[in-house]
Amino acid sequence: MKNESFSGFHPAVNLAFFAAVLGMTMFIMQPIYLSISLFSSCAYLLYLRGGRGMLRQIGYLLPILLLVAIINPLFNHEGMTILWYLPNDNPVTLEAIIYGLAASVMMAASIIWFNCCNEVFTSDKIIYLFGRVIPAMSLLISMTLRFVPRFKNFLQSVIRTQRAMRQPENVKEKLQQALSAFSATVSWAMEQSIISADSMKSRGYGIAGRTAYSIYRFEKRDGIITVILAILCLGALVPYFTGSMRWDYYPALTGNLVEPVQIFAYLCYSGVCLIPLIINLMEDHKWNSLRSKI
Amino acid sequence: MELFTIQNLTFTYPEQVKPALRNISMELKQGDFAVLAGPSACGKSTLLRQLKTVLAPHGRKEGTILFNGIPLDEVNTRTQVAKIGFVLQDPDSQIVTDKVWHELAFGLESLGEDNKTIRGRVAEMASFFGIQNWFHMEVAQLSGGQKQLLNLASIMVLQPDILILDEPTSQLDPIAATDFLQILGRINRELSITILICEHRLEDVIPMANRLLILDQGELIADKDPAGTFEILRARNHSMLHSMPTPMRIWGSLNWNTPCPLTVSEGRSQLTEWAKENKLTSVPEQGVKIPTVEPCIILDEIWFRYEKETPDILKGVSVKAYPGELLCILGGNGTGKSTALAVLSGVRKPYRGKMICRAKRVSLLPQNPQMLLVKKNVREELMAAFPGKKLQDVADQIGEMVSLCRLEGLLDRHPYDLSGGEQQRTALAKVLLQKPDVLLLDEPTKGVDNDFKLIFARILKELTTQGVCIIMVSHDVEFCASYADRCGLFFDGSIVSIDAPQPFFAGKSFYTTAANRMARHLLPNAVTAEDVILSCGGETFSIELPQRPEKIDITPPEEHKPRKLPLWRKILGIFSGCAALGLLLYTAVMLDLSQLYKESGLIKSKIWVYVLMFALLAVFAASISRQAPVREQKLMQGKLSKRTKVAILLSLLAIPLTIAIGLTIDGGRSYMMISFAILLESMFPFFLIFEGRKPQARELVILSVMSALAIGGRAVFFALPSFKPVAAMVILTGVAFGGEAGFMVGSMTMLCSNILFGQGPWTPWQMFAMGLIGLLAGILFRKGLLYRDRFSLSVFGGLAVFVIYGGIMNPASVLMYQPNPNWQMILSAYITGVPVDVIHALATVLFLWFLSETMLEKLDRVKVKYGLIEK
Repeated sequence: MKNESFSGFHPAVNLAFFAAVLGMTMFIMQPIYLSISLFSSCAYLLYLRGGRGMLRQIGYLLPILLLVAIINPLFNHEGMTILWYLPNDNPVTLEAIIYGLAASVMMAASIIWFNCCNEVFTSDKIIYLFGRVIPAMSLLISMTLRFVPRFKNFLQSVIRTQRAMRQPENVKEKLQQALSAFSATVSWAMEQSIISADSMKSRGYGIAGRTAYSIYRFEKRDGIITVILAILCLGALVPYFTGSMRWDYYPALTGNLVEPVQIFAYLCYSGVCLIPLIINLMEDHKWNSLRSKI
Repeated sequence: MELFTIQNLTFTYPEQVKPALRNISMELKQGDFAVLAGPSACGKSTLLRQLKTVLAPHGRKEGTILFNGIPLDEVNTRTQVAKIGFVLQDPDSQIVTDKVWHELAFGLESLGEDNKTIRGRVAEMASFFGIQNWFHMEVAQLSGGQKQLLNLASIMVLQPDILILDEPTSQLDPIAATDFLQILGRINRELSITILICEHRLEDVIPMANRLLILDQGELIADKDPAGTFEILRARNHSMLHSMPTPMRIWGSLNWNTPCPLTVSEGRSQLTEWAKENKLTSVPEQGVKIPTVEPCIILDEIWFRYEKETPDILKGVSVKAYPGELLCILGGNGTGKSTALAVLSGVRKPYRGKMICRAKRVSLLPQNPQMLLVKKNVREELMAAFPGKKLQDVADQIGEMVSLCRLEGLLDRHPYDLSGGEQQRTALAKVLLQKPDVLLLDEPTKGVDNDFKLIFARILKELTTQGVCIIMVSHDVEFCASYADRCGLFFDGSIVSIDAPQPFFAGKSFYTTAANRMARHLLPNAVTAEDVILSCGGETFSIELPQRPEKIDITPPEEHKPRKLPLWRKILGIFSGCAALGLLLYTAVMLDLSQLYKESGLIKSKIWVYVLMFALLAVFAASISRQAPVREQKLMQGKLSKRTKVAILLSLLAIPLTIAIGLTIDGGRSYMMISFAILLESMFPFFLIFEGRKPQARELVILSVMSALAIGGRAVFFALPSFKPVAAMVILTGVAFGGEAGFMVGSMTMLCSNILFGQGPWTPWQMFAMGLIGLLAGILFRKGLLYRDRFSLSVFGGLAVFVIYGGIMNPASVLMYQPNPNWQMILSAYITGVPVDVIHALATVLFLWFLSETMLEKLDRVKVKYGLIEK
């Protein structure tokens, strides 16, 4: 993976960011907020994965998005502006269509944010953050992740060995081979597990007062970013407290979108969503100027 | 100062009469480097494990073990963990976490050290071992040698007084093994840490050791410096003499009056001195055999690479192999030897060059024999080579093979209870039952001690006399020099030189045997220790191997058969099963999607079909399920644990509360928030209780192994989406280890598989759905409603996946993305989800049908081994 600057921050900062954007994306159904979120998540994913990775993701998302958008007007008949009638005499309304679109944008944005999250929030960060609160489970995750590639390798070499002894001729034989390979892997894994448990006991697992070591340090810049993030989040939520956040899809599209306080909130929200991208661009710029000086 | 004092230690395993260790007394001083050797199954591991309480096997122990003057049982765990370091044989299974840095810190975390201390110690140790370059890597990316080094380092951070190592290099290649032993030597010399190592690579460790202990049949027969121990062995004419380093063996046979040589260079200078006064007869030159038969396999300039973009692995390999010969291919790691075997066996296809194979059957014995071992005893393992045949029909063939591979007396043993060498012979027998004309061996002597090598060599000899062509890939220079017909050196993707062993090794200066390096200046053709001894006029040791037995009876002891189902249940089963299937087809065919959006039309007209179908399936399950034998049933069933009950109760209390609160906020329309909260609340009690009771190591390992198997098992069926063993494994866990374990494995499997394949808002839903399946399996089994046979498990599995997993995930897809859901949307999600659910359910049924019984047997075995239940 390329050197991504935002993932260099403390895991808690990463977590706070993703929790904030995912929470606001999933719970604020206001169209401008949704667009900001969708736009910034796409921009970040583009930065993380490049054009090709981004396109692949969108190609995979598009059909689901369409489905989500269509389902709502088919089943929801609220709304004032009736466009036409379905064969079963139920009306299709403009409001329901727009609502369906909004729902699919929300879904797209949240899935793309999750994609970014998968790039930045690697397993060791998850284990670190959980390690403080739920140490046994975080160790469980770590151990599972350790065993998966091992078992997979073993399983695949068993299958190769079987193929060397006998090429499967039909689907039934293929299935039989796969099952017996899996069975061999289970025996082996069970037997290995006894040694793993011995190794854990031998290194003192189970003594009271276990601590969780981490290679992460909370630096000054982590603190600064956290404060900025908190302030921007508050700013983005100001309309909620003043009551101007209200936006209704039914029975008709009602609500204001361009009050001054809202425009301020939009700016703050864009700030929240674009934090990682801005950090990355600043870092890239710094490196470029350093390099040009050499 | 004595670190360990052992007095009159006798140890007997449970249900055994003969003690495994007999009357052992010894002392270990600060700074000692002691090597423990002995024939296999002599009790080496048992003795080493006595020295750390948590690793000591169950059994009857007499005598005393003092650590720093205090009885070991009274030394608290914390001190033992820090001061007594233990490195086990297999580098891979000792590592428990996924990152190098985490593994290094593991022991210190257990001891409760703070972050700062851990950072300091880890940094220090990583620098000493040169680990800093791979500090952030994932464990899976390391080589075998690096892994074992990591194990050593992760114990050294605890600052032990003594390191105990149980065959630490047996799974490593020679270069990694030598490096590892060199580091051990450095630890001993520079840090004065006592080392007690059990090792069969004696050539490398003896020069460093100040003591050599020999254990035979549980008795300590020698405990002196290496030279002294050698004297004792010679006086007894003990079979261990054959395992001693070449210079010592030559020195011993020729009765020189000099101090015993420990290294090749000492031996070489003594031989030079001796040759000044005595006459050497030169080693007769081995004529190069010109084969008269047609080659059975010809490789002609074979090129191979794995992917179009990756570099070539094989670069023009040309070789001919003849019937009745043992062709050994030597070479370093990563030169492509194993790939060449894969091409020979036909698993990989070359992209250029010609391969002519005149053999009818080519078989490969993999490096790890465990890859071939599936069954519960050796007899069934061998029977598996004849699918669908009765034991009586193939008894002669199997009996012959048992006699050839010396498996007599092992037929009723579980394959994993055998030693490495015995496992290998079992796997070999299994491969040989296919009657190959070409046998491919991948490093068969790795991790096997000398006695086994001798037996193995004899088996190979018998095979070549029968006309089998054996091609063996190996690192083992000494073995190849003694037994090969021809040797080839593999380097940089092709075979560089190929010749009979004598000219092959005599022509090399580095890559050759110890005997050749010691005597090459005087006896250029001497390749083995025997060559040198005979040239000097001495006599070689001979070892008596047990004769091959003639006739072997392979009939198994009687087993009980499950009771037959009564006829009425069979009829009922067939009837209900067919009816359910018919209804399923009916719903699939008659389903009219256009009806979906008609107001409640579907609900009224079709819902009864689904209800009836599930009812019939339930009848089907009840009528065909068989009760397991009473003994097992008693063993496994019992009351639900209090913890499980509390967890369920807490979930049940929290859910209505959340709904009530949710309804008051926002007019009850924040479905997403409410459903999410319910999910978390129903999972948290289980997680919190799991944390609260501080699970033991073995429980954590079992849970993570089951989860990892469920995730890794996807790899077999990657071609079929939704066709995965996850649900089946979760159900089996629930049945074997209880509902709570089932829940944990279900939810952890989904969490971890999403860490690997991508998180999304679906993660908590999947965790909950799978967890619930595991929990239910456990509860129903404990309550006696679910039986341990494949009928009832398969039916339960199919239903659980269809009803529970589908039943949760389908509405979840609506609740996740439709902020304003209604019943019709959920219903349509159910119906559109049916095909996927059916495939998923079918996969689960298939898995449980074919694997549940063997799988449960395997899990029971582990439970016995862990001491979770009595046998």
